[in-house]
Amino acid sequence: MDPLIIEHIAKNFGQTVAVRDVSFRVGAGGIFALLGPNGAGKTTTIRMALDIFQPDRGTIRLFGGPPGAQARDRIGYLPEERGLYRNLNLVECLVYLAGLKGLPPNETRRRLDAWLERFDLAAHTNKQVNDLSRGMQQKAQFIAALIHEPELLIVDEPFAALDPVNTRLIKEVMREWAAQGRTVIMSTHQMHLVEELAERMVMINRGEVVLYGTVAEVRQQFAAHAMLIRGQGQFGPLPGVVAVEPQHEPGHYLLRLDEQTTPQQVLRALMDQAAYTIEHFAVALPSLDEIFVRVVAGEQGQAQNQEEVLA
Amino acid sequence: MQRTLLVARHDFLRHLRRPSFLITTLGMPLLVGLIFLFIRISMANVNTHTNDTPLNGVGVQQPIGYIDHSGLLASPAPELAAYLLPMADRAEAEAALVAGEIRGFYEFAADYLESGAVVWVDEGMRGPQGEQAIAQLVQAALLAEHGGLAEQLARPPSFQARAAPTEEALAEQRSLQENLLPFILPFAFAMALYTTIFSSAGFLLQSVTEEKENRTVEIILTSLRPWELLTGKVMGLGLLGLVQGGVWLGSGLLMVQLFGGIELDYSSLGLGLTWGTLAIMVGYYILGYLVYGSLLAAVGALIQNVREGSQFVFMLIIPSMMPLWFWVTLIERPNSLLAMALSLFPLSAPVTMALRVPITGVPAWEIGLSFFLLALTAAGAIWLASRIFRAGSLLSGQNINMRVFMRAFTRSEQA
Repeated sequence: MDPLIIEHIAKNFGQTVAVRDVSFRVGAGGIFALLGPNGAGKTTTIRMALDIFQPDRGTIRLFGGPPGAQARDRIGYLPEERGLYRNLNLVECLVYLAGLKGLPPNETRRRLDAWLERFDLAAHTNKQVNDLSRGMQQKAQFIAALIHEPELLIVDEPFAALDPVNTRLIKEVMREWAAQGRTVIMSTHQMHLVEELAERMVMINRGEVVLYGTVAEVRQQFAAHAMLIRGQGQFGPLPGVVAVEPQHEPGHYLLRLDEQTTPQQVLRALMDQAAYTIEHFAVALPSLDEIFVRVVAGEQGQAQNQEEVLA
Repeated sequence: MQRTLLVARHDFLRHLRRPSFLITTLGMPLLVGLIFLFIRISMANVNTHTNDTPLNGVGVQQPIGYIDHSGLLASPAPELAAYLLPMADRAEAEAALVAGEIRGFYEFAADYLESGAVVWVDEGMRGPQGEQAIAQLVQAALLAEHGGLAEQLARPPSFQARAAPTEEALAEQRSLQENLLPFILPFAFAMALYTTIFSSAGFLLQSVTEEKENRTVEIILTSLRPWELLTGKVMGLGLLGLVQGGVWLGSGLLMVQLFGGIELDYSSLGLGLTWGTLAIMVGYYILGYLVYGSLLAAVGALIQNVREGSQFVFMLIIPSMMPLWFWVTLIERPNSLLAMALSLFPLSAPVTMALRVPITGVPAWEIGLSFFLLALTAAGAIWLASRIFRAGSLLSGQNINMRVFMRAFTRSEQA
C-alpha cells in the first residue's frame, strides 16, 4: 500500500494560488524527493499531506485512508523553519514532542539514549535548547521527527545548516530508514543529494507538477543531443557535431549534437573510421541541477512572454 | 483528550517555573508583607516616642517627677505611682534629673488654679513628656468629689457597633483600623481577581506567540488540531491563574491577621467573606478568564509577537478596568445603579462583583443574571477564538488590524 497518494489537490489563500493542481504517489520504502523553486507550493503540499491544511479541491490518501488522527502518529515531520522550546531542557523538550505523538515518557527516554549518543548530543542533555548551536538544534529536531519511529518521515531541507560530517550522518539515517521499509519524503534544493539519495521525485513549479518519475527517467528525459567521449581524434568534423568541449581530464570530451543527430549515429560514425580511438562512450545526462534551472527558467521565460503578449 | 491534557500539563509547568511567574506570585505577598511589617514597626516607634504613658502597654517608661506648690494634687493612682514621682521641691527634682532617675519634671505654681501655670523642666529639648498621665493626675484632683467621673475620663473610649442603621453611622462608630479594612479588602480582592485573570490571559497570549516565534507550532499541529491545542492551553494556564490567585488570597488573609494585629471577623466588619463568596469569585474568575483568555489567544494566533498586539490587547482590557476607576464609589454605594450596570455588563462583571459581593448582599437574581450573561459572552469569545485560532493564522505572522481580524474570522479553513 502506498503511504501517500495525492490526486489533483489545489489550495488558495485568499487571492493567492498556493497549489493549482498537484498529483503524485509515494510508494512504500525508499526516499522520494519533492523539488521546486521557492514559492512553488511544496510546503503547502506537505502541510496538506500532514493534515495541517485541507485542500480546496482534490483528495489525499494517507496509508490508504483520509488524513486524520489515526495517521498522525505514523508520520514524522522536520519542517523547514526549525523550532524547539528555547527555554526548555533538551530532553524535556524532546519528551514533550514525542508525548504529543503518543510515546510514553519512559519509552522516549530509553530511545533517546541511543539517538543522542549517535547524534553526538549526549553531553548536552542538561542544556537548554537555547544554549545549543544551530546544527545541534537541527539534529535534535531531526530526533524529534523520528523518535516515535514513524512509517512516513517528511523532511524539509534536512541538510540546511549542517556541516559535512553531520550531513553524512543524516544521509546515513535516511538510507537506513528507507532500507527498513519506511518511507522518506525529502524536500530540498541540494540537487546532488537528490541524485545521490532519492529513487523517485516530483518537481512542482507555480503550484503544478512539472516533472515526475524516477530520478533516472527524469535525467534521461533531458539527455538528448550530447555525449561524453574518452579517446583520440578530431571530433569536430563529424557529421551532426556542433561543438566539442574538452573536459577536466585529458582525452575526455563532451560533444554537442544538432537537433537531428542522436548519440548512437555519432557512435556508429566513430566506429566506422580508423582515425578514431574510442575508449569510453556515454550519453551525457544533465544533472538535476541543470534540469531544475532549465525547467524553472523555461517556465519563467514562458510566463514572461505571455505577460508581454497580454500587455 | 489525552494530548490536550498533555498540552495543559506542559503549559502549566512551563509557566509555573518561569522566573517572572515565581517573582510575581511569591514576590507580591512578600512585598506586601514587608510593607505591613514596615508600617507595624513605624507605628510601634511612633507610639514609643509620642505616647509614652505606661497605660498604653508599650512597656515601663522612665518616670517623670512633679512638684506641687499649689497643694492641689493628691497621690497618683496606683497604676501611675511608679511613673509619676512627687518631689518636695525644685532642688530634689533637679538632683533626681541630674542623677537620671527621672526624665524631667512638672512644676505646678502655687496659684495654679487661677493661672493654670505649669512648667516642664528637662535636660534636653524633647518637650513635655507624660502629658496624658499628668493630665489624669490633675483631673483626679479637680474632680476629687466626683470619683467615678475621673475614672470614666481616664478610661480609653470603647465603642461597640451592635447595629448599623446607616453605613455612615456605622463608619463613625468604628475605629480607624476597622474603617479602612472594609475599603481595602474588597479592593484587594478585586485587584487580585483582575490581576489573576489578566496574568493567566497574558500567559495564554505569551504561550501562543512564543510557539509561533520559536516555530514549534508547526510540529505541534502535526499531532493536534488547533482547537485541541487551544483547549489544552486554556486549561493549563487557567489552573495556573487559580494557583496564583490562591497564593495571593491566602497570603493576603494571613498577613492581615499577622500584621493587622486583629482577629479578622469579617462579618463584624460588614464583609460577607464566606465559602459561598469565594465560590462565586472562583466562578467569576473562570468565566472572566475564558472571555479574556479566548480573546487574547485569538489575538496571539494572528500576531507574530506580543509587542505587535499590545494596542489590540489594551483595547480589549479597557472594559475590565472600569470597576477599578470607580472602586471608591462602588464600595460606598455597592447597590447603586452604576454598580448594578457594571455587574451585568459581562466585560466588567467579574471585577465589579469581586468588589460588591463581599460587602453587600447582592441579590441572587442579579448574580444569576450576571453569571448567565458572562457565560454567554464566554461561549461567544470561545467560538470567536476557535474561528481565528487556526493553522492558517498560527503559521503566519502579520501586523494585526481589523481587516486581518475579519479575514481570519471569515476564513473557511478547519479549526
